[in-house]
Amino acid sequence: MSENSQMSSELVRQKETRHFKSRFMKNRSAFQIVSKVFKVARPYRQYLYLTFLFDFINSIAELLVPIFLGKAIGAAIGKGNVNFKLITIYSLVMIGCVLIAALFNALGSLTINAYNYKATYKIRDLLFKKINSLPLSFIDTTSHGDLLSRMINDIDVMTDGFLESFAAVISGIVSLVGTLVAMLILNIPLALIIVTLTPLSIISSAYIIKKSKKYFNLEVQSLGDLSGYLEEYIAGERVVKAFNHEPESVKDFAKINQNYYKIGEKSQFYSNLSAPTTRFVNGIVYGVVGLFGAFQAIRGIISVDIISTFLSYANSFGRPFNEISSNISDIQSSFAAAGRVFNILEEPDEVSDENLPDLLSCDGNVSIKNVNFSYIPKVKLIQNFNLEVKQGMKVAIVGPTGCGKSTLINLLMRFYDVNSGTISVSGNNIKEITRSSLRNKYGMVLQETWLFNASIRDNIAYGNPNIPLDEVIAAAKLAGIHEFIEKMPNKYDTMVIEGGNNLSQGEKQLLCIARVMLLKPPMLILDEATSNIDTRTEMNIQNAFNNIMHGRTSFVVAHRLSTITNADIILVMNKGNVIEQGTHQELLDKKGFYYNLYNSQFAKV
Amino acid sequence: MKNAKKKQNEFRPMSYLKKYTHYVVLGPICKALEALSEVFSPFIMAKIIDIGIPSKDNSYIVKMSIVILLINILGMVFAILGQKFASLTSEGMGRDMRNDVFEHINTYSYSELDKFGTSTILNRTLNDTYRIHEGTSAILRNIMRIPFLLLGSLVMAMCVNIKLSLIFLVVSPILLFIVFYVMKKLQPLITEGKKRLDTTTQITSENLTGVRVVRAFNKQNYFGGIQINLGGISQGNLLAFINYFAQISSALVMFARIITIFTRMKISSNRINELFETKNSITSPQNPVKIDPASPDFGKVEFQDVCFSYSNLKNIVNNLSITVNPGDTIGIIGGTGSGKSSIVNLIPRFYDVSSGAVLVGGNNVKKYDVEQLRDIIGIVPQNPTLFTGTIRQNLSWRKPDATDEEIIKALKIAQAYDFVAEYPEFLDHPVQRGGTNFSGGQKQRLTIARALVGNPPILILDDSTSALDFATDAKLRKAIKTMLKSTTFIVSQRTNSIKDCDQIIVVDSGNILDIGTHEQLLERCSLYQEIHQSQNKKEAL
Repeated sequence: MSENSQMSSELVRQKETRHFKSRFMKNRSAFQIVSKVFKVARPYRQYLYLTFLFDFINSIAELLVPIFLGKAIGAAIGKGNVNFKLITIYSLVMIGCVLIAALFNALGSLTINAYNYKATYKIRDLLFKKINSLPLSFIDTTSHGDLLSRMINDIDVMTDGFLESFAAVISGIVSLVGTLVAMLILNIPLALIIVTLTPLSIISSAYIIKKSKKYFNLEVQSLGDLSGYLEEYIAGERVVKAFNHEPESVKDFAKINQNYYKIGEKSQFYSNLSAPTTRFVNGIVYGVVGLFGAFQAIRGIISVDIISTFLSYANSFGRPFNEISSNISDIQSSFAAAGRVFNILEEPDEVSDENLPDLLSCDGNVSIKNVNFSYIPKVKLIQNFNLEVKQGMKVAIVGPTGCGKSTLINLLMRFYDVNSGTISVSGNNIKEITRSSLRNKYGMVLQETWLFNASIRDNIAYGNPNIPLDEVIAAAKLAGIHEFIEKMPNKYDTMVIEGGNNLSQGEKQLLCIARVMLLKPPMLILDEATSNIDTRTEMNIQNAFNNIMHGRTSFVVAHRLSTITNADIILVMNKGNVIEQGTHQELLDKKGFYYNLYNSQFAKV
Repeated sequence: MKNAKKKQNEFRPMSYLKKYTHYVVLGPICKALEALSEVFSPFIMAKIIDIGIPSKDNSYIVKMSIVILLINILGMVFAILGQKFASLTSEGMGRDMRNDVFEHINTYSYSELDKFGTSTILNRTLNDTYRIHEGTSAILRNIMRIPFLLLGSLVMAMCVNIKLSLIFLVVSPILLFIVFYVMKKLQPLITEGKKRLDTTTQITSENLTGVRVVRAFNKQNYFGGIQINLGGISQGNLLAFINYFAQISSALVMFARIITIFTRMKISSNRINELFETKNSITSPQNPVKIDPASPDFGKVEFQDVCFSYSNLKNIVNNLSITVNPGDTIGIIGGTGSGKSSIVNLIPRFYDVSSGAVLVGGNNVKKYDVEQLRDIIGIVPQNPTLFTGTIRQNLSWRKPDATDEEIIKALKIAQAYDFVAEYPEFLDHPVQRGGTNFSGGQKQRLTIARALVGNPPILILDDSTSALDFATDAKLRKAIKTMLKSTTFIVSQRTNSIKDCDQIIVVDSGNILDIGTHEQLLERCSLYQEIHQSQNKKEAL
């Protein structure tokens, strides 16, 4: 039975993922993405303009250096025939140009960095704000909880890629155009030679990048295999030892390792090939420019200094291509990341409830009428569900793992909207009141506890410093955790470390109960512990649950017979639907699903 | 794959180069030849300008241009060869290091695994070895190139003009200083920046830094101009000089980078060395006693006044004495962290006792070969860990040549047969990484079956039925009792799982509170009563 529900929930997840993918794989062109970034970063556009300006000045200064260098060389006509005065002037001008170029280069990278960080900071900010307004259904179907970490990663990739690419593209374009213009002014034939030779460098580096990218991807894959194996076996090393499995695992590792070596070797070879190839192409250009330059010099068309100027230009003309192409994979992945980020930013928000009234008073009556619900249209879950809960009643929800208990909670607290039918609290349709006022009326204690890095007091008081300490203590006493807190080093001021070990799972849960005690909500949603909590803590939690439920409408995901038999209504769930409801005795008399469940679990062998 | 360092007791990255000696020699030679080719080009260009142009000798210019072309082609060939040798060496040594590290990790006992933890070991096996062989590759590619570029440029410059080349001697140290200074200043900024992307500080990536430094120096071409004041120098020579200067400065930048790579390698090497220095603390004796399946004591387990603590902390097992006869079932119950698992971990020598003795088959466990000892014990760990592969592969761990019948029998005892039989691939049904394609209860039953294959005379179930419902749990225990007849240790939080045991050990924060049968304990042990009552009043559904 539990296997079946396991399979069906697996199916649901698969379909949800597919559904999600079709929605998420919206392809955008690079141009669309760039224009979106520009639009978001519009307030910072002055940095972009400044970058263009600085790069322009830098580029002019850089271009002047070879000209004056050539002139200085030209002033040294031969041994003993050197115009010292001119050379000194040219040298000083060159120094000036170099300094100006360096200064504006630095300024340019400062402004482009500022632009990038401000832009990505804003995008990140928008994204985190967006998460709060996204419907839960989106977050649930996106990636089972790792949405946040993936987004952070995407933003990092985007920042890195934009940093590289914007800087490279802007300064590249400016210096490319500048060099071209300068060359054309100086000597058209030599300029044409350089322009025709440059594709050689582009083609060769494009070839190498293609090759190395192919092997790089393979390497990433096989590194994934390798690290996956290591992770699995190092984490499971104790089992390996228990079964004397070491020789086999070493042997298997050597195989995977050898595979990684083969690919890694090729990948490294190709990725390190671009530097010598660039040097080679530069060498060729150097020779050809020398050859044709010399021919022209012989014919008296140009002076020797022009040759030297062109030798420098040949280098700087090809450089932007190489820089951009070596960053191309970063750029590509940053565009992909940016595309995903914008897809999320453009998801429709949760339906606004700004104009709706708050739920002011609440007696704890809950009425569910003809409710139908499913996460995706094809897989039906809750069908024609009706339930009347009067103030103070205890509703136990039972069923095998994965039967859909959390779906019910999602609907009660309106994390999801019903497809048809109504849910009302105190006679108010929950669609006609604000979500926050509805959710405030529920106190929720789940097995997954949510504590933050603050003192125990702040955790119980939800960070509200206006709540006096004795109220906090009273709540802790009701939750049965007061004695425990008193034993802690700093009592109520002891810090709770998130994910830390200073509190056990059960103690964390008791803290959450104390928190709910303090809020005194009219309705409760509780999840009883199943395992991995020792008996005494379990009893404490049970007692605390009994305290807290007194006089309140409560929905309890129940595992304990006592809770179930005492419940006013038992909801029996299976495969996402409520299949039976009634009291313990009614359900036993019915001899249905509950009857079988009860008997199979308690049958003696 | 045995390596010299095992005898030397120390991890030395250099020792991994031995296997690749020919590449280690040939690679840098190729790179040196490449560097020479780079050094020659400007020299020839100077000849074109100084001799070819004034004499208007077309054929000379063409000849010299062809020489430049050929030199560049040669340089390229050497570069490719050098690259190939470097990558063969570095990736090869990376592979060998990883193999050795992983093999060494596999000799560790539980204490050593505790000491480092999974993520540390993982990091060192993957990232630190990576850093070392990547660094080696960079060094191999540059170790000869840099001095040749530096010296070559210097010598060629001297050939061209002695006086002018003196400038290099003066300027190079200054340049070197500047390069180091810039690198040193930028390096922390970069690492810092990687950590705090949030703060809008100005950060450049490592690559950009390098590029900028090189560019900054390439522009400092003006020194030559000043030298012309000092005496005659030709235009061509001046041009060559400027080129040499550029080459020297880029070589210096590379040199500075090599130094940072080197320090990083050193750190990684130390970390790996720590792994190798840590030796397995649980070893087999020189002349191990053979385990005798015919002995009447086969399957018998005794604890004689056993105390145990993890690395000198408080005792987690205090003065445990108990004799377990072959085929008996022992329950161990108590709260989390009370030391239940620690007791059973002493039987297969996952840890050694602090004092007292654990006997299996009448002999101290320390007298056996560790592998043989673990061979007769079927262990179900607390965490149901399965490994990528198939069900069959996972279940053959105790017995690599297990037949289908044996595996099916184990599955049936473990109450796992029914759901496995539903898979069309049956035993060849895949197990995904971490067993994520099974539910918690399925995983527990599969790990139990894994321990049962080959009928181990001793069986340890370490709180491994928590995800099973009562009916299944009861069936499982009954099947073990009737079909296996192993000496069985059951660690549990639930009295119902152990109430049929021949003896039950009740532990509370390291102390043995009581030992007895279910009925005896119900009468005299208050903790046991408390646990039992609380669980049976409100039994879990």
